Amino acid sequence: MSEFVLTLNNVSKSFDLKSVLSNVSLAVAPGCVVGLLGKNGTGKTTLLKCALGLLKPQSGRIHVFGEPAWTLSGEAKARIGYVPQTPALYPWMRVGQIIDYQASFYPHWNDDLIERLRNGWGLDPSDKVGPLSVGQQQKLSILLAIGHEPDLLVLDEPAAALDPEARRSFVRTVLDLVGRGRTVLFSTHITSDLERIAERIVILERGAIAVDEDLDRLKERVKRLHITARTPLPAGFSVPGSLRLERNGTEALVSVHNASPEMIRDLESRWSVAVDVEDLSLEDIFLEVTRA
Amino acid sequence: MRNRYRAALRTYRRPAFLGVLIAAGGWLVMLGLMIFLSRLLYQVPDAPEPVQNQMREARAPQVREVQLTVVSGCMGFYSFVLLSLVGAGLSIHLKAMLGAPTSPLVPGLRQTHLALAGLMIAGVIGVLALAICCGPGLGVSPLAVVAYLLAMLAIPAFLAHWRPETLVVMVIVMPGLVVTRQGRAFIWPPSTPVTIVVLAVAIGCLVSVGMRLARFNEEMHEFHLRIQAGVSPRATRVLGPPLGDIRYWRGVGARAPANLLWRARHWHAAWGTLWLAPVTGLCFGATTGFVAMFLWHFSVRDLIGSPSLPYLAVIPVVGVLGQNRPLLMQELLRPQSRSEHVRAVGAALATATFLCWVSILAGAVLTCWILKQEDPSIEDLWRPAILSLSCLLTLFGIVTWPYRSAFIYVCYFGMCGVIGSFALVPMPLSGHGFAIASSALALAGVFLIRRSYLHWVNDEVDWNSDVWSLLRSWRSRSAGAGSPR
Repeated sequence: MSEFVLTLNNVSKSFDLKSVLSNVSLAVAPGCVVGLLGKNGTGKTTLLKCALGLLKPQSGRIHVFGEPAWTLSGEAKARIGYVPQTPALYPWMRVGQIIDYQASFYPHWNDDLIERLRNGWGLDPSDKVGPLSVGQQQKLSILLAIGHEPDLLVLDEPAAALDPEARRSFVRTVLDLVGRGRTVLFSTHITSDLERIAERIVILERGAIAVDEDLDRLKERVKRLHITARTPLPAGFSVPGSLRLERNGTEALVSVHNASPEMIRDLESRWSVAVDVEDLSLEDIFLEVTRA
Repeated sequence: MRNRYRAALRTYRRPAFLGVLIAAGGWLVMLGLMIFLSRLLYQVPDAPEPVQNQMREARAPQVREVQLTVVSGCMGFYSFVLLSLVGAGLSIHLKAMLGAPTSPLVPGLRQTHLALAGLMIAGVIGVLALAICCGPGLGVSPLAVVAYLLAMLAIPAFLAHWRPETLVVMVIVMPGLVVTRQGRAFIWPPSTPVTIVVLAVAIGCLVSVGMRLARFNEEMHEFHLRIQAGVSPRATRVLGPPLGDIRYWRGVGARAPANLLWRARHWHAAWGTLWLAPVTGLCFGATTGFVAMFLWHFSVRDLIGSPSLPYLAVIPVVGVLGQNRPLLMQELLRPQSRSEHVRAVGAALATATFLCWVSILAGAVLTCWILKQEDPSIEDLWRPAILSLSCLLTLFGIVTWPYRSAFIYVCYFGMCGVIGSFALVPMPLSGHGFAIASSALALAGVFLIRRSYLHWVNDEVDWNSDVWSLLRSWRSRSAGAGSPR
């Protein structure tokens, strides 16, 4: 058994000479919840597809459960659940039929869990899939991905179209899976969801990993400093490790990626200023990092 | 315990396969009737053995003619329709099922679907081959029968897998070959080397498609050419401006005149169909004429007088059947009034259909005239043309019906079956039968077109509704309890 559920080593992928991923390396340990963030078009979906063997990278190696992703065995596939960004279900089928269809391919299928969630999310088994709303189709996609209780669950913006109640229920379900030692790789723009469940955050920027860190550590490290001086701040005022610096006379607003008590004390003594430290939400951190 | 094969088999219960079932049903009925007729002719009343033998000998030419008709029918039009539908349908279905985003991650999904498809192909070919070899009793070579049946299935499957658009060419060219083939001497069996080549091509096509599907993934070229579940916007993508459109090139096309057709041309809905119609029609007509002249040595009179001529009406309406309904509905939100929009688009589609039909006839007649220098007389032309036009009206009425349900496909294929049967059982093109059939078809067409127009103008169109919900809505409306759709 491999030490990691998923490993990517120097993975690069391009489409028609346009580079989408460049030298991405990532290792996901069992039971870990990794949140994947990035602006539109930074390669999140491509990264997830490469990781699952749906796309073949131009260079680099990818292993899932110790097997090359491009040639996964049936046993490895049975341990993976995937919710794609756009639900692409079969419109002529009915909800119950598509669940049965999916379930028939897995050696283990948790009917009770699916039944409970299906009822809770208001999906009628006799409804046709085609006329369902995007949100309902998204719910159905999630059901199909978690019915076999996968060891690795890959979610590509799964909650974008869900209503608040369904989203909360979905997060609870993911937390329940995580509680049972499952691994989750979760790409989303809803950072509040990630804050609730992710242990580790990966931020992609122009096809490369800009941040890869535990969420708690990241929140400790990235802070916004409100700096106030008695006299106007000098032209050469700078803060080491700043992501963004806005200066206005005697005041400055600085986002830093390496905040620590020593660093604050050093700043106060060096420039004779008062520093207020503001904790940032994950959304703010993402904005600060990507702006920088 | 769920069975994956049963689950995969259930995925074939989709509207697109109803056409195949209708074709299969029609084919089996025809086959049964012909075998029954052949047996009936071969039966002799109770009599001494020598007398019975004499009677059998006397009837032998008739029996042989019926048997040949069975074989040519089995190997010709109906088998072609059925098997090409099965081949293309299987290929398209497998691409849709194996090309879904999560399919490559479902364990055993590919193997299950491919094994099931292989069994279905073996079953269809086996049943047909058995019926042909055992039914008429002509002593035909089973290998040749299997080879040709397999080729009829495998080539469309191959085309549908690699280049779905080539199916359009096949739909245009192959009926030309088939409809002009009726009534000519049937050459059977083919030589052994030809049979082996046909068999090798068929097996090659199936194996190559199977191998590609066994590892179907996003990196493959043909993955992006798959016809996805539902209506693909690519299906009615704007192909580009018509080359001969001077106004467009002068840049004044944006200022559409307040003319129904001109306005419709600038709406997405009828754009593709309108300018392609005459070109498609001429190509199809010319191919039909060319094939009739060179392969089957038809005279102009043979072609024009052919009872297969009504079949040509099936082609022009295919473009209307392929219209993007959701897009048509979105366009109802344009600032023009709804009835104005429906009239404009309807007129554009009707014009395109009629132009295509006229071009087919003109293409066929002109080709024959140029190649054989024979002048077809009006006397020869008008009756088949009227019958064909009546069929065109009915088909147009069917395909413009606003609810795109499985029912439409059933009606369309059913009507194609009716028209196709004119080729096997020639309709008398004179007298009361002709007048009644033409009038009935034309009246049915006008009725359907009028109902379709009223639905488009007055009703809230749900393009995705099935026939049962439609019937429920009618029932509730007639009971005065339900609200209009």
